[in-house]
Amino acid sequence: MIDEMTEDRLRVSTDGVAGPYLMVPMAQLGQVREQLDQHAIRCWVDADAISLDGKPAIAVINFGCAGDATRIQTIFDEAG
Amino acid sequence: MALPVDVRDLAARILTRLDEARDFYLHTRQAWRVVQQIAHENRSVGIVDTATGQEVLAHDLELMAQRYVTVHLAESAFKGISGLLEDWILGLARLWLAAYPKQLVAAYNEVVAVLRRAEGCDANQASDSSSTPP
Repeated sequence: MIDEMTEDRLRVSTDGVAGPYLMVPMAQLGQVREQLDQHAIRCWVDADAISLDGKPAIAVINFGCAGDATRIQTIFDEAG
Repeated sequence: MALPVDVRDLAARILTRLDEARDFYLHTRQAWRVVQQIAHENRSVGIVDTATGQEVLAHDLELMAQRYVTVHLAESAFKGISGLLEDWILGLARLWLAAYPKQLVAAYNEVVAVLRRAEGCDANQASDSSSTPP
């Protein structure tokens, strides 16, 4: 899956303590959540999204410390 | 002051602190998300350690923001709110007992009576076991 803002693939980042997370434009949030729901990936989305310099707002999807970053990345890579 | 007024004052103080705790959590989260977003875009953030002169790397800052928001901030907010709950319950108990001190005396007497009964049971059991042949 391609990030509409950067036109690069969606990249799942990870932190050793906080677990994986994904920063995604609000416009794509529904599509991304649909993919996650299809694969029964547990996550929560921050209540507020951040917009810088008037650009589209970015939301953060958190997967928690039990999230599997590799699996989630594979799901988005295969989604095309 | 009458008990209902004291209780309302206590509740108002706790609610004010609860609002502050909520605002602190939300605003701190939003501030860290702004920093995270800037770092995510690989823009220079420019936080410089005045002692060493070193600048915090954007990549480090992005991960730090995620950890601070989802782990440390959430935990500290939870602890703060737990403390408020404790203040509310203990404050309520203090006001109630100050208004009705006789209940405190009655409760004390009840505890003493229970302890005495328990001691009596222990003493009886001890004498029973010492008189029973092995």
